[in-house]
Amino acid sequence: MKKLTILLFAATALAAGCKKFTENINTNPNQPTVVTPNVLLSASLNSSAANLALDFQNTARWMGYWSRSGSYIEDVPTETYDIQPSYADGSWQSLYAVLTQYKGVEAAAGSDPFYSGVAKIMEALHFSTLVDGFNNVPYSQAFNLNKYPNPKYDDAATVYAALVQQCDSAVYYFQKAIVYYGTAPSTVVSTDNTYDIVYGRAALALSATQRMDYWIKFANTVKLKLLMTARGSSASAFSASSITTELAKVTATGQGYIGSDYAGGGIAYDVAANESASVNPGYGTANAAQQNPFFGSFYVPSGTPNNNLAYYRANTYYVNYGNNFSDFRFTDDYLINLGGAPYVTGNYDGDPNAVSNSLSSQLGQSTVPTTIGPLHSSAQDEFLMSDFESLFWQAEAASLGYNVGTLTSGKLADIGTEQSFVYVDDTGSGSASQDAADAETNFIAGTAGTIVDISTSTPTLRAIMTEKWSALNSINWEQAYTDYRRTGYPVPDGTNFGFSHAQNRVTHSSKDALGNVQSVNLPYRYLYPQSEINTNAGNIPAGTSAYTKIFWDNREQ
Amino acid sequence: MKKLLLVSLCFLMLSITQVFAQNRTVTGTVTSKDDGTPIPGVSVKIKGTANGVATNSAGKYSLSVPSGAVLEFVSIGFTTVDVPVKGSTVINISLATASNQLGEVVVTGALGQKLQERSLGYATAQIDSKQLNQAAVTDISTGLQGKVSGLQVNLTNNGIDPTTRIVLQGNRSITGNNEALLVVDGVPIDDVNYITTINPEDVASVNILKGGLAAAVYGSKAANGVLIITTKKGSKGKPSITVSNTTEVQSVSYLPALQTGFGGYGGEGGSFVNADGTVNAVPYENESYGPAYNGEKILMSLSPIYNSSGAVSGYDTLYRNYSPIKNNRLDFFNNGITNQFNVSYDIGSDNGTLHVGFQDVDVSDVIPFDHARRDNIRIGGTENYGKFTVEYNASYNQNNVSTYGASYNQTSGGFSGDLFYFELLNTPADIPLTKTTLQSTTGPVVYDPSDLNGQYSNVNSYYNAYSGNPYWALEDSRENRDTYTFQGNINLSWKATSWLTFSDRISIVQQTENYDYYHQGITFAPWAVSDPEHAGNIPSALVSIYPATYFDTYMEQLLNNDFIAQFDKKISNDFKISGLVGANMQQSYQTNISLQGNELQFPGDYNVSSTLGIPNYGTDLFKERDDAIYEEATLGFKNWLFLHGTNRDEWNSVLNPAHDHYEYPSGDLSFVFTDAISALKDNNVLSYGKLTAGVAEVANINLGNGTNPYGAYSLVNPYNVANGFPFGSIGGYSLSGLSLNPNIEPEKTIDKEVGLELGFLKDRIHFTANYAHSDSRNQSLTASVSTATGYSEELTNAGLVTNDVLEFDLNTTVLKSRNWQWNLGLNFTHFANKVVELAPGQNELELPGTSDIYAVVGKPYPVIETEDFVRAPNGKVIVDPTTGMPSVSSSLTTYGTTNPTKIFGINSALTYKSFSFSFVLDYRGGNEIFNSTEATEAFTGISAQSAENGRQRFIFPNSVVLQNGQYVNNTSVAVVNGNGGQGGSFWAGVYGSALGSIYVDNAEFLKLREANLTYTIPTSALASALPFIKKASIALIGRNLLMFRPKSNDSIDPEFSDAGSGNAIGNTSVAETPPTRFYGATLSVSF
Repeated sequence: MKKLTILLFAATALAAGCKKFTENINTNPNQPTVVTPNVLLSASLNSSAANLALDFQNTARWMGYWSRSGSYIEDVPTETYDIQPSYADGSWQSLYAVLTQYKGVEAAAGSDPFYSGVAKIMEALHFSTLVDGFNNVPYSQAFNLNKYPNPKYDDAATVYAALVQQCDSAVYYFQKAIVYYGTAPSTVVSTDNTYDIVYGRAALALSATQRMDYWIKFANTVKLKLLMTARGSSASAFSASSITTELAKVTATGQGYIGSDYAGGGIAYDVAANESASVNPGYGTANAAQQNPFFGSFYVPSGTPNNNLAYYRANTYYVNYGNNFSDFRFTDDYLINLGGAPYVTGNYDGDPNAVSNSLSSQLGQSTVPTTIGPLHSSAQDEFLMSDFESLFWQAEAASLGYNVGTLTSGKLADIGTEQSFVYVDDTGSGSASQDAADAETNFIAGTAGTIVDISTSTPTLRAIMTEKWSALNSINWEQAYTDYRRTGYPVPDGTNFGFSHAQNRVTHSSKDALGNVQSVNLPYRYLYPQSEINTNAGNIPAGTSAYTKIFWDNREQ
Repeated sequence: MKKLLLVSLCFLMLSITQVFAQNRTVTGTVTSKDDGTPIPGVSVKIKGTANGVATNSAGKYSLSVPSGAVLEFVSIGFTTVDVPVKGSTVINISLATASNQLGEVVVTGALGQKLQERSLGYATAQIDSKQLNQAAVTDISTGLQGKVSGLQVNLTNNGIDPTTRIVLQGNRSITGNNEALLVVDGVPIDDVNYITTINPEDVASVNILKGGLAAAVYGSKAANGVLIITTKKGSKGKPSITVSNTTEVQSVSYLPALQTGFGGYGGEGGSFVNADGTVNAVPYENESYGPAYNGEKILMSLSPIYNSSGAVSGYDTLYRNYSPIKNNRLDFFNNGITNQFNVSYDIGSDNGTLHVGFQDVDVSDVIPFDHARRDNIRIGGTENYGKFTVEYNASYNQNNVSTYGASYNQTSGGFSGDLFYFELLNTPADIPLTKTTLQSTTGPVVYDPSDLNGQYSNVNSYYNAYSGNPYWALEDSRENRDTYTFQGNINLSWKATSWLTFSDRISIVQQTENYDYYHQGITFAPWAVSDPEHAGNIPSALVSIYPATYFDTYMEQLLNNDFIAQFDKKISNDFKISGLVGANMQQSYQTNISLQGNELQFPGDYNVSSTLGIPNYGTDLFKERDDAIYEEATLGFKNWLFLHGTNRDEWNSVLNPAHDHYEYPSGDLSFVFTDAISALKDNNVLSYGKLTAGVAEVANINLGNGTNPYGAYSLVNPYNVANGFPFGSIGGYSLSGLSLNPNIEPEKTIDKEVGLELGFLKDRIHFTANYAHSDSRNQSLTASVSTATGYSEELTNAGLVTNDVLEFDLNTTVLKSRNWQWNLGLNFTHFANKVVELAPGQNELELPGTSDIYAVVGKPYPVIETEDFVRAPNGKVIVDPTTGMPSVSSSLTTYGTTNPTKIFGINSALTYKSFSFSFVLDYRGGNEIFNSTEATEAFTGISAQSAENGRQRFIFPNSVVLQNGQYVNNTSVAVVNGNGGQGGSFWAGVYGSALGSIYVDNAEFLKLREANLTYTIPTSALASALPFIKKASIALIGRNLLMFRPKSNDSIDPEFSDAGSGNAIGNTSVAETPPTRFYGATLSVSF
């Protein structure tokens, strides 16, 4: 028995030793658990770029830019509009994931206001995309897992109004940053500059103050986008007077909008002022993950294509528009077939008789890198907001009588179009001024007819939106889809965008922007995603279908 | 009672006779009936007296016996035999292994203790070497299938590198590990997959501690039961060498049911569509929605003709017959050959024993080019030095596996292509898949698709425009896995006093693995890139593919030390106490380095250093330590009542130091009522009876996953290098979608068990029944959360799963005579489990590892959830009143559990003289399977079902249409397009869509797992002809010879699972190749 007692003592001593043995080896040797805000910001902005480049690509088909090749099997939900909750789930999740990244930037920002400013404005941009796709979404209770494991859904108009305020606070932080950089250590200034992969890029060579000026322009433009998008809403926050008040705040900042320093008068263009908000951390061919994400979804780094390039073809809808209205950007967006230029063949999306690859045009040009078209190289910038998109936002606001500066809506749309031509390097001259001149000769002054003639000082909304739609081809399809839903435009040839040629499409009748009844319509929105049904079912608004309108959608039923 | 008395009286009479007999000397040898080896130490006693001797090391004895006496041969572990002396002076006897000497059987319990079966208050089972190896299995786990209740071994994939999943008494954890703990010679190895590195021929026995109760003393790693493997240590006696060789043929059992009526067409327009709307066969299609086969000549492959200046001037074409080729896909597979060579050497004396075993297994798979080779050597033995004993064991295992990789089609770089089986299944029935002679424009041509340089079978010419040549994925894309494992342990014991023994057991397991995955590069010929058939072919889509490599090397080291003081003391005549106190230290350590280059410069040089750009790379290191002290005691009263208790205190490094200590108590009771109740004693009808009951609480630290094996560093959210970063000098980091929990605690399971064990007719019938109930709370759930929370998953302690398991085993000796013996074993297990709760507010959880498999509150675990048709309230499918097409519901429907709820096994072993025949039947049922491969088959129009209506329009069976707000039976609206291809077709559009309910099948099956017919050459025959041979036998063996399934399941082996050894069983894909059967012969000779 004595021995047993001794043993028990020994065991107790061992137990005390046990703790030491097991502690102190649980520190993660593989990954950091604390990081600085700069590395979070660069990753967040790069995610934003991927998000804009890859999400909601279905709308590039819905908006008549791309079609499925006849060599591939039908994509039933996209082509027949029979969408399910899982349909846009991936895009929902990637949007919330990137928003979470910016929340992390905000949390880590510390005393450096620049990081808070970027986070605020990027949140506003991505949340607007969410609302545009899903209407009510979790906002006020989002990003707080411990407190709100099941975040409630906020009213879409309320979210939008909050996003407008978020643009103001972004401007506030950027203004603060200008002051902060005045006294901050030079290492802080240079680190922030390096990790600002939007405006801090060496190619732009901006001073800290200039960088902040550009960010303020971007914030102002996002605010304009929010106000213009929501103007169809009946919410008081988006009444004409509220919009006027909010735009007055923009004017008060002094920086204006992206591209708004374009000089007026004559056929002027300002090709040097590339103010587009675009991401480029150093895209290139070093690795598949280091390619521009849009380009990288079509090519491997060595420049050989992957299956996506074979899967997506030119859409006959856009090709016909280009031919009919002499908008030769379609020869930049798509490959001119060997049959003789300009000759581009596409398919109508979902067409049961769609032709195969060797008989239809691919996206972009036959060899990469190229300067022509939206798909040109591994190293190309990824737009968060292109200058031409900004100019069309300003044109829309100006045409509605809002004060966005000195230029007329016609002038704004005109230079927006020119900038688009410059971007796609129409005719491949490599000269920006030549491209801008092409815009005038081939297009604006061409056989454009009533829709596209924006050389007059007061173009119709139809003309502006059609121009914008054309400019956004293969660049911002999701915005084109939103523009279509909120304005009903473009309707370039009198037919509605129920233009998938798939059989057995889901039918939903409504009137198009010209007042004609259409029996087949694009979905008005996405369904709440399956992941939310699985995890947050209690909060999902009831009774939504693919034809429930987003809060700003006031089209006639 | 009267009968009993009468029997006793007979015995009494028998003893009386003996007393008056005359003495003489009887000699003989006692051998084992199993292997003919001599048994030393057998007690040979004159029945009814105290007179007797023990056999020597050669199994020989000599004893003076009165004539007419009865000799009783008793040895632990063997059946006692009584032999009347009669006139003979030489009595050689062979003893059979005691399978039914209930209560006296010694089993290996937790921590290697030798325990009397009667003292156990919980469910265990034992499988000996012979039962394990009767079908010459190459993997221990497959040798356990169907043999005991409560054990479920799933062969989830039977390729060259098979995966098994071993679960005891049901699934307790929703997302954590549910597999049993492996214990080899007393040393716990926390990864049951190491079982594949042990040579089954080296195994002396496998003890199965079925539930948490039996295993509580092992702590958190044993919450799901334990497989205790005891390896051979040699035996006393003359040296013996056993050499055996097994050669088996492996062949594909069956393929999914596929149609052979229609050839290639995928919705092409133009010249493929006739004026009347009918379509022509498309020669380059991988979809089979074409016209019915008609035997006409059709283009097979193009081969360019070059003119003098080197330009393509035309195409030489090869033709095939547009008619199905019989068994073309089946013939693609080889007959695999498995050759197993074993040598073992055993020797021993009173001072020690030694076993050396060597095994070489060489497997050529049914899949062409797949090959594996395993070599294993083990040395095990014991040494006795008075009070000191040493047991030791060392084994080295080398496993080289080479298997197919992914194809090049549909790639976006790297290794994301389809698998060969996908390509194979979706090849139309008229495409030759093996060597054959075809006609070309220039005459007959030998067409061999496996020749990747062939004129018509190279990547440019291969018929299929959209899918690669399946041989490419076999020949030019390979995964090679080389694993080197060392296991060693040494156990030092010191018998300090008669009742107290100290021992220390130290072990190391070290495994290094090199994994090398590469694929060749391709530069498609310009003529193929120009797409002469206007097909939109792969060459035009991809132009060229770089060679790529992925290299991964890992090292794992598991260290374990147990210091144990074991006591066994008689307190009084009635009371006895035995047990142990111990301390355990474990360390697990793993490092991992991976490198990937997607654009290698030189064909055939698969070194990552020759990649263009920046390779992908990663290193990881994981370490876990676990400390424990434990106590175990059994208090025995009069050898019929045993109270047993254990307690373990554990400290684990992966938990927060604030609460890293856990206690696992257990207690159980065993009551041998046939000994306790005097009226039941010495009853020949009910010879043995035992009741048991117990309860245990075990905790299970379930933080590990596929990339983090131990769950280390799972308390603080780490930042990961963001995709693509660093860009030059710009770094980027982001959090993952998983929110960790610093206060995570282990899962807690309370196991309750009651059992009954009965032996009838001197234990010729042995029956056990066991009921176990477990409540597993506080699970470490990786619960999906709304992504609006900032995370997609959260690690949380929540949930409750209950398991009710009923186990019955019935082992009988049906026949027993001098020439005949027939042992029949039946086992039955019923599993009922239920997910009672998940994380708060959560009703279902999709399990990681595959799709469509869920844990759903209130349902068994796991279940299938998938999309069904949109149905009317009466359950009929609603179809569109104009198109006749059904639609797919946007919500998911819950189907049955994928885990078998009923498992029934039959083991039969029949011996007649030198012949023995044994087999194992295994039934599993009560579950469903999601055959997602069928969706792929429907999509490409190759499934048998897709041809049921002759590709004509048909009225969807049992459908309704909405008319004036009422659902009325649809008798007139046929589906708009009863074919596939493009444009709202039924088969590709509906059956190939998200719709999953139609692929949910009844998963029940009955398999003839093993069969063995052995002829053992009689010792007498050997003795005269080949005296140096002690034993020789020849056997015909088979595995998985037959399988019966319900007709509705015409797809794959329902045991297979895409999730491998993960929890989400029940979903299959093209990653699981067809089931196979093995048959062959074993020759075994002992010297």
